[in-house]
Amino acid sequence: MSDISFSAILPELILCIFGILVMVLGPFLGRNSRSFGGTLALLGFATSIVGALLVPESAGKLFFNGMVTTDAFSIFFRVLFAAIGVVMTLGSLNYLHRLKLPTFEYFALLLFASAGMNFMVLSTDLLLTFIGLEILSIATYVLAGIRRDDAASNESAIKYFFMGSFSSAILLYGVALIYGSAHSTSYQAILKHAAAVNGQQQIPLLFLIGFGLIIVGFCFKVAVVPFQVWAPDVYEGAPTPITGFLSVASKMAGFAALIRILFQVLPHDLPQWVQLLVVSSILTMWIGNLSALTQTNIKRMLAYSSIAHAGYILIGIVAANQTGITAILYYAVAYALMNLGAFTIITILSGRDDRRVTLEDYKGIGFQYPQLSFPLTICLISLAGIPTTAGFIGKFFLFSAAVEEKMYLLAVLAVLAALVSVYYYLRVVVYMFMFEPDGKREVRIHPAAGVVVLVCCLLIFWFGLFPTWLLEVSRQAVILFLHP
Amino acid sequence: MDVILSLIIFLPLIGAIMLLFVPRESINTHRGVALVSSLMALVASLVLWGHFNPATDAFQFQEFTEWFQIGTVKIHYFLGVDGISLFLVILTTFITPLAILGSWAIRKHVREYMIFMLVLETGILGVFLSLDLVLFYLFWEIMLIPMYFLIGVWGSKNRVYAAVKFFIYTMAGSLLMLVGILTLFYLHAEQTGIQTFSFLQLRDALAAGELVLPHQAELLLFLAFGLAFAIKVPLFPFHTWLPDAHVEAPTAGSVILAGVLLKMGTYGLLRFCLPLFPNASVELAPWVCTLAIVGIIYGALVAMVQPDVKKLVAYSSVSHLGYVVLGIFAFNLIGAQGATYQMLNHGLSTGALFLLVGMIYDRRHTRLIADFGGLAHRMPVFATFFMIITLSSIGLPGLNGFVGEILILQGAFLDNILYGVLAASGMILSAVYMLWMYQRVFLGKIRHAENEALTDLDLREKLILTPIVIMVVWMGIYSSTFLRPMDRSLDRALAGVQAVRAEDTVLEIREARLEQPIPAHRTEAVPQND
Repeated sequence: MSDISFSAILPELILCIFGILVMVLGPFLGRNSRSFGGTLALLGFATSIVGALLVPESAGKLFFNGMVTTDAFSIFFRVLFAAIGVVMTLGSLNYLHRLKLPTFEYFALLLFASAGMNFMVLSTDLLLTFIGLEILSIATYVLAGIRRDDAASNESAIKYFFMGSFSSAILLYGVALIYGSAHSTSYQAILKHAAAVNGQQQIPLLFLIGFGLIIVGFCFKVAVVPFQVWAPDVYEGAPTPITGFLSVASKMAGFAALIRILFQVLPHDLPQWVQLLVVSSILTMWIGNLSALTQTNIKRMLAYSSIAHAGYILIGIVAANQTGITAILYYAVAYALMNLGAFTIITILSGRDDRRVTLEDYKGIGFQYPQLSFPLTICLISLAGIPTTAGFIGKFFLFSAAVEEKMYLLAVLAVLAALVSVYYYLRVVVYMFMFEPDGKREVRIHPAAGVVVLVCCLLIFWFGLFPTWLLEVSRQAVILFLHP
Repeated sequence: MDVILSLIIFLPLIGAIMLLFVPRESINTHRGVALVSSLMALVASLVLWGHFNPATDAFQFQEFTEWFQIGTVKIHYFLGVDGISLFLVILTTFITPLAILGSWAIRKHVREYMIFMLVLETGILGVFLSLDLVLFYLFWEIMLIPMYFLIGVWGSKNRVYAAVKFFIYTMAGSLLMLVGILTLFYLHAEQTGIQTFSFLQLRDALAAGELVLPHQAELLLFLAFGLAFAIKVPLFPFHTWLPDAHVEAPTAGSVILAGVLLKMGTYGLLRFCLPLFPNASVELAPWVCTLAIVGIIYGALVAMVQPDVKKLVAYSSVSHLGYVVLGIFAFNLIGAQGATYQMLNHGLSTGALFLLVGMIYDRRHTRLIADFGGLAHRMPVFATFFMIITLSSIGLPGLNGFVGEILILQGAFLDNILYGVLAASGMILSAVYMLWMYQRVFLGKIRHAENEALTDLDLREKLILTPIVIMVVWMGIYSSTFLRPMDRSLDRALAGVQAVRAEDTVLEIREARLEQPIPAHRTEAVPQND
């Protein structure tokens, strides 16, 4: 067993250790040291970034009996997830304090969720992927319901739990069928099996159904049409920072795992899934954007918006070329920046009971709180894909991947969907700047959250104007999918 | 001189960034910084004119550096100026300081207002100077944001509706153009193996026959680009955003919108659609010309019945821009000269009209023609300025409007007599609505007591209008200052469509010959055997 290498899972070990530390120390320190959990979590995420960068990158070599890879793709996402953890921690410190929520549980769960996501992207075995997904899911079920005295939060948690379990079951059933067909759950073995079978005869039905179920399971997780119905209710009810986390981190982890399965495990001459995903992508973009048009609750609106963004990301998957997959990784970062930036601002503005999240509450705050309204505008403009922002570059390359594959109809439908989205993003801006305020309200900006907002906005512009570095890193991370 | 184009583009932006650090309360500093940085851009653009070589059709003062890349696809920061863009740049840098100077009435959030004005100027200048299609698209889109805020925050009653409509309309066109740009890129890469977004390379590849666009693809690409430009122009029937936006925008916003922004559309047609898609341009020219003429007459007729002066001027823009499009799609040098000249004219005269309307609005807080009458008695200087601009707008010989319109009409007549006749009738209509409006506002007796107390223009307002009047007269009397530098570049822009036209004519002649019945004497010449 020479392939047991703890340095290969260093970031995950760090996250778990810090998670356990927070949990164990919490009860001893009690309620009077609220910021301790946050500090510890911050330390954990930061160390995890360093750990992820220290992981020896090797594309070919697998560890833990062929279950763990340390390729550039996994490292990319491990760094991203840890960075999201940092942002989440800083952004929600004040929120937890304001709502008197249990900090230790919150941060411990956040750390475990992050570890789960990491396992999803580094796994090269269906079982480990599933376990990673479950770690993430169970942590987020609890996080969604962490406001125990709030009915909406409970509703959100229950709904998320049921839909999540349902999708996990489908996924697991798919894994079982694959195992029945390929006699293994390891990606390498499945690929070998598929290649061997493919040479002589038709791919067995069992295998196809298994893969179909796995894809469906992930589609539930990332909330693409027709498996998106749970998302708006869950996002609306969950505590605001957690909504941000669900819409960014867990979605990206789902996509990363899906990409690995589609491009590393699935035989390449299996075009059926492309057709299905093209339809799903178009429907996701349109249903997401059209439903967002009429929302008056910002969290719900951004929930639909995040459904639509999953549709854009699917474009990159169905185009399946270098531009497309590179763009997905770039977009993952851009999307994390703009959505987390927006949610951090929404958290700050959400008031004492996390209820001030309707458009009416944003009336006239534009010139009252320019330090919040202008950054929110930047995030929204980036979500809408206006140039000089990171959102534009991401969309530009996603669309160009479709055009490269001569999927003109898809590209045109995508840009028109983006046009629809402009309307509802601008509606928030209209409420902020073009209506008179109802009255003065008390908004305090915690320095930690302020820093998060500032950094997000600066990076949105930085990656929007000088994207070469991030594009190159993304390209390096996906090379392994292009030359199998 | 190497970076003069960047300097022109980014001087206003630097001003905007500086404004971020000026405290909120010092309104006069905000105005000063904005005015100075826009004036510096003007000076830089005049220096550019001084060094411009009119004897070549090449793009001058080119700047070319790598901007970003993904894999092997590179996007460049590529700027250049030729005879067409030169004057549009100068028009922009000329109008913007005047518009800023005309915004003293703005008292709410002056700092943000000035920042948006300057960012807007940067965006517009970038559009005129970019030679990389992605860079062009970037500037094309980015200027929407400041304009959106200018209309939406500082506009009048119905401003939110107007701002959103403006944004969505323009964005609709430009997003399809984005797909067009990408398609062109990949078609070119596929056929030549060269990956480039450079307008020059694409144009030359098309001219040299290295890149051949399938017929249907060319038509669709023309439509994708053309729609974006047609909405911006705006060509009838895509004009409905214009009256709303122009009327609701604050004075300076309307000035920039009408004076400069609309020209981005006609510039795009002339710069991109004609050279890149010559076959499609020729094929669809009858449609475009028809829409342009409908716009000319429709705009004029609607302008005639407007009770609101600002709305009247807005609809007159639809009519005037119709001339520009007609001149471009006449596909001859005279028409294109006229069109480019008319872009400048319209920028000056309509910009000035909106400024004038703004000045009276600041005093009376109404723009309805019915609320005025006899203003010339109380405001003689104002009335005089208004008269000069009115005459310029309707094309009185000796003023700038005449030169542009006569060239366009000449071009239109050369192309198709019917176009010429119809367009000329629009000129009469424009004289009707402008002069009738002038009469109702300025002449006769003062009918409303409120107008008795009106004060005439102050020094600042005279300072705004005088440069425009000087330009109006200069361009009317000595047009070759402006026409000569354009010629070579216009020739180059028209080369593609003219080649297609020439080919068509040859084909037509050939077909005509083939269809001719065999001459009678030849049949007779066949020897008869009996």
